[in-house]
Amino acid sequence: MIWDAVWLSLRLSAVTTVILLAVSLPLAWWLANTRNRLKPLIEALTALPLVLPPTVLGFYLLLLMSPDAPLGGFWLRLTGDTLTFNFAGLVVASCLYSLPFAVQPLQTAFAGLPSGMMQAAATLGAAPFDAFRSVALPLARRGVLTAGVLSFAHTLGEFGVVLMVGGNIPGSTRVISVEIYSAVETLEYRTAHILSAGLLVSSFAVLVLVYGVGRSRWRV
Amino acid sequence: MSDGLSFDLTIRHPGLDLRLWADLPARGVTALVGASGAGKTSLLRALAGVLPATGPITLNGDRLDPLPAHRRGVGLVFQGAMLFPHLSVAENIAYGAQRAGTPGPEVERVVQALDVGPLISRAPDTLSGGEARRVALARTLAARPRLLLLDEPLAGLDPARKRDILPYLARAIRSAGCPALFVTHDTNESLALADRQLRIAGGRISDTAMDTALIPGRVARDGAGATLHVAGQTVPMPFAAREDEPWGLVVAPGRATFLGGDGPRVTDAPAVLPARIVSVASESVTVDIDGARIDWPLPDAATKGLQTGDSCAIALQTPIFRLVSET
Repeated sequence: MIWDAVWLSLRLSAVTTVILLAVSLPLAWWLANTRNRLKPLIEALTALPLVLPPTVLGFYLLLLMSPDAPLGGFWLRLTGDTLTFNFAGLVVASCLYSLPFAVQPLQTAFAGLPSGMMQAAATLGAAPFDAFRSVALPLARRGVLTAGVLSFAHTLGEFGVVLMVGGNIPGSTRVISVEIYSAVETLEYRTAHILSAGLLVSSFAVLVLVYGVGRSRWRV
Repeated sequence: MSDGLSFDLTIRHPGLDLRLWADLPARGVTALVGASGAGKTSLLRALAGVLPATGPITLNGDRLDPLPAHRRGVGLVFQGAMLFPHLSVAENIAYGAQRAGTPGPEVERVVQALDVGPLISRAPDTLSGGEARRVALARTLAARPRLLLLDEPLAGLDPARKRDILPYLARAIRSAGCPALFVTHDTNESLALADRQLRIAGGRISDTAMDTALIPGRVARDGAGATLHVAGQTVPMPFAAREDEPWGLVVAPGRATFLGGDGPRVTDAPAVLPARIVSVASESVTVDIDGARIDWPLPDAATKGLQTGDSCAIALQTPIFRLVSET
C-alpha cells in the first residue's frame, strides 16, 4: 500500500514536471521579455496558487472538471473517462498548483540575461528559436534546474488540491500526503512516520540541491 | 544597382529621436563620432536589425531593412564583447561560422589574422579585455559579414592594450572585404583606422571631412621591433607590425607641427617628415609630403616670408599609423 502511494506520487511528480517545464519555458520567456499591458495580469494569475488555499483551488477545479462542466465534459467525450477522481485530473490540478514554482525561477533567470547576448546571437545568424536554444537556455540552466526540482518537490508534497480533485482512491489517487492523512486517521502512526520522514528528508535534500548545487559558473 | 551602404533611418525611442541618412562606399572604413547619447550605438543597432527603426537600408543594391537581424549578414561587434560565457573561444568563433557556412580554411585565416589561436580552448571569463575584443572580432568576421559594425571596439582598454590590439583591428577590418563603420570617441583611433568620418549631432548625421594625408611607407623589422620607412625617414612603430606590411603615417594639421623657414629645425618629435611648399595663401599653405598634398592652416603672420618651392617639415609628436587600403 505504501509503495503504491510512493510510486503514484513519483509518477505524478515526474509527469507534472515535464508538462510544467514545456509550458513554463515559453510562458516565462514571454513574461521576461514582454512589455504587454497584460503582463501584470498574467503574472498575478500565474502566482495565484502561491497565496490561494489549496482547498479553494481544488474546489474550483472540481467544479471545472466535473462531467457537466465544459472541460470535464470535453475530457469525458475524448477519453470516455472523467477527469475527477483519476490520475489525469491529478496531473491537471498539479500543473496548475505548481505553476508558479516553475514559471518564477525561469522568469527570473531569463530576465537576468544580458539583452546583448540574444542580439549577438541574432547578428551571428541565429534565428530566434535557435538563439533561445543555443544561448538563452544554457545560460538560464540554473533557473531551469530550480524550476524542475521545485515543481517535482512541490507536486510530491501536495495534499489539499489532490484530495479535493482526486479523493482518496488507493492505487489511483491516493498519493503520499493522502496516505499519511489516512494513516493518522486510522492511528497507523508507524506508516505515517515512515512516509512523513521520507517526505521531510527528500524535501530537505531538494532544497539543498536548489540552493547549493548548480551555482552559476559563468559571469553573464 | 548602387554599390555601398545607403540608409535613411528614423529611430524613435523614449529620449531618442533620430533621422539619419548617409551613403558609404562599398569598401573602406568610416568612423562614427559624436557626443555620448547622440545615437551612435543606436544607429549601429538599427543597421544590424536589433533595434527597431523605419526607413530603407540598402547594401550593394539589396534592401536589408525588411529582413530580420539573423538574415541581414551584418556583423556587429558589441562594446562589451558579448562572448557567450557557456562556450569556449573556439565554440564562440564557430557559432557564427557554422550558421554562415564559412569554410574551415577561411575561419582559420581569421583566427590567424587576429592571433587568437593560442586562446582557442580557453573559456571567455579567463580572457583579458584585449583578448576578449579580439575573439569577439574573430567571431564576427568568421560569420563572413557583408557589413561590419564595431561599437567602440577599444573602449575600456588601457593605452598599452589599445596599442597592442589596434594593428589586429586594422588588419581584420581591411581583410573583411566589406564596408566597416565603427563608433569611437577617440580622434587617434579615428585617424588610425578610418578613411572618412561621420558625425552625429542634434539627431542628424553629417559628413566630417578628415583633413589628413596618408604617407605610405614600408615596415622593416629588426631585433628592437618594427620601424616604418616613410618619406626618407625611419620612424619607430609602437606595435608589432609585420615585415613589408603597407602601413603609412597619418599627417593631420591639428595633430602635427609645421616647421617652416630655412633655419635649424629643433624638435624632439619622434617623426619629422621633410616637405615642400607648393602654394601659399593668406592663412594656409599647401605642402607636399612625399607626393601627398595637404592644406595646412597657419596664422596670417606665419605665412609671410613663405614661398612656393620652399622646403619645410612636419613634426609628428605622436605618430599615428594607418594600414594603407588596397585599391
